[in-house]
Amino acid sequence: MKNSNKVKLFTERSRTRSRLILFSLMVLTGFSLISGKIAFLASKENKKNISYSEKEEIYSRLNISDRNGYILATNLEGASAYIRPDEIQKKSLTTQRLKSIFPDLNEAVLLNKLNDGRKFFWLKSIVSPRQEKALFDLGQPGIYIGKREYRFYPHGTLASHVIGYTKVNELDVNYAEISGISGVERAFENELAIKNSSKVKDYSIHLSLDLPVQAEVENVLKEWQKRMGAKAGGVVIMNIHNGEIFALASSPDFNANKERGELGKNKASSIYFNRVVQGVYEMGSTFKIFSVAQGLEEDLFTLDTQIDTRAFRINSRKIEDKYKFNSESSIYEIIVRSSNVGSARLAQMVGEKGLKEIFSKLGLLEPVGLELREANTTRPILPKNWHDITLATVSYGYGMSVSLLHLAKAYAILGNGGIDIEPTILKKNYDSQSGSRVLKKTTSDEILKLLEAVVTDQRGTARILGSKYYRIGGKTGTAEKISLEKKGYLKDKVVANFVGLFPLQEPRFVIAAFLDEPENNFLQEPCRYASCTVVPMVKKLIERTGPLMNVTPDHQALMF
Amino acid sequence: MLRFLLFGTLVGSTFALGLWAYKINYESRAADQRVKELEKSILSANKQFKILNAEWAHLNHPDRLRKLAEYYFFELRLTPINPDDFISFSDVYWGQSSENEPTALVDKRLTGIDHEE
Repeated sequence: MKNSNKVKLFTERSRTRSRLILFSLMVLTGFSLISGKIAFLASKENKKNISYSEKEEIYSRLNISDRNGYILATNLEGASAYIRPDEIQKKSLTTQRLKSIFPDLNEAVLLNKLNDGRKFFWLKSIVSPRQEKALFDLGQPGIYIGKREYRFYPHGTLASHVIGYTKVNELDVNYAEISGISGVERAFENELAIKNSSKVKDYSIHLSLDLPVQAEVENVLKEWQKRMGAKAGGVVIMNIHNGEIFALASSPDFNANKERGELGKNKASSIYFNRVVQGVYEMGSTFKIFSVAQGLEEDLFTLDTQIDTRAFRINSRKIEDKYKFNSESSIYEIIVRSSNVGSARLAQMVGEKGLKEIFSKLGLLEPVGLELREANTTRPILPKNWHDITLATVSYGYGMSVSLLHLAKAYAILGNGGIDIEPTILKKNYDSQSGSRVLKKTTSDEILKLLEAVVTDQRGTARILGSKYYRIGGKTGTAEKISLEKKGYLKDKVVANFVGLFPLQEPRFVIAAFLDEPENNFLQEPCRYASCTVVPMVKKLIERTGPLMNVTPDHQALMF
Repeated sequence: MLRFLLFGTLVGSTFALGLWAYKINYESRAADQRVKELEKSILSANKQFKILNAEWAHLNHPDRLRKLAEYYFFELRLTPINPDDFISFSDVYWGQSSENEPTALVDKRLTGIDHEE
């Protein structure tokens, strides 16, 4: 009896225990199910959140803006229209209706596309909001609208050569991949095309250009190009201390909202050709200052040294001047009145090595290191052999071709105290010089004196530049163009240019300008020299852009 | 009795926890939905912003402003900035009263006059 009781007690206890274990197992399963679900939900949510920010790209390409933040290029959402011909029943009726929305459509071509058995084709790669609504209202099956982005240039032709343009690489029904073809759009392709917008803080690339200055420069350039009957022209204004380009205009220009093309074979006459950066020309007398600079650098002479300026021959070729010079003239006079003979003599004193040295210091033998690809691929055209005659002609700007940007850079170094600089299209946060010294400070000071004399001296070639507001210094250059048909130069076609520095009490800017085949017919006799074509333009440019760039007029100059 | 109490508490708490989890789940779904909506409205606001920015840039095109300034010349008298607009410090007319004379020193570079002298 005692034993059976014991057994009963034992079985009951074990049953209770197993029930408890079973129950706690159930509770545990319940809890783990709940916590598992919570964990699952939590992890799923996380993933979802990540996918939002990755998917929803607003800025698939950054804006380009000027130094003040004015937008020069931006991406906007647009629509493109495509057609699936299978789904269209009344094809000729549809064609007529589409023609009423898009008047420029060719009906025959469209009808052919609808009937030739293709499954899909693009109707329009970009449609306006109004056209988009009209397409919707049509209610025609088989016509679809896909959202896509496109590049928009709010200022049209303004700074078109600097900004450049883009093309659509890949076009899908809801997606367009845009990539840069020229200008800043190409040079900064990697920075502009962003993969993850959440990491980007500033949605713009800030250029060094100043929109009001650029607009003023383009207006004046176009006006003078027309007035002088010139084929083309270009202007660049650059800070001589840090190389920031404030304005760069090349005319004729283009509107990247409408026209996007390749340079083509005859690139020098293309509207897409950046004449300031890509165009290399023989520059003429603006080169004369270089042999003077090298002579001063080597202490070969001073500005008062007398040089023989009688016409002479090198290998039967006569070197002479258009104006009459005394048998001996000072270097001051050679530059102020622009003597070819004097310049050739100076080059002989400096020698081939000296001339090459100064060209190399001023960056005239290499492409300019501007960020634009157009600049990196533009090499100066140098003489193959440096004969005696080459040395003489190069000293006054014949036999060697450089771009206007090269000249601007060289004059900037001459004017900033002799510090090497590199032109840049990006806004810099500092104004100071960071390059190494390539010329003596005294050379730079002497050169500035000479350049000012070209303007202030009554015999100077740029005397009409004498401004009552600013002290300006510079050098004119007029080079006859090479004939393409026969050997030699054309007497009636020139490239006229001017490079100047201002304000001279504390030089800050270099301005370089040129006109291709100008002719001033407003004078008693037609005049093609830089002094009567480009120089008046530069005067207007400086007086209009100076105040915009915070250059206060010199009150000493105001006294006149 | 004790067993019943324990059993009851456990069942009750399981039920309560289940409810709580359900509520959290429901709330998180709602929050998720709101985030989606907000993201959408931010996106469309940003797009609007971009369009407005582009339009503003277009409206501020220098040539357009110049034409407007010419058109409204008699009302606004706006002319392009000119070196003549800068005048020397000594040419500023301060009126008859000496009280109106400026006391602040102006940068020498701006005026061409050295006030230290």
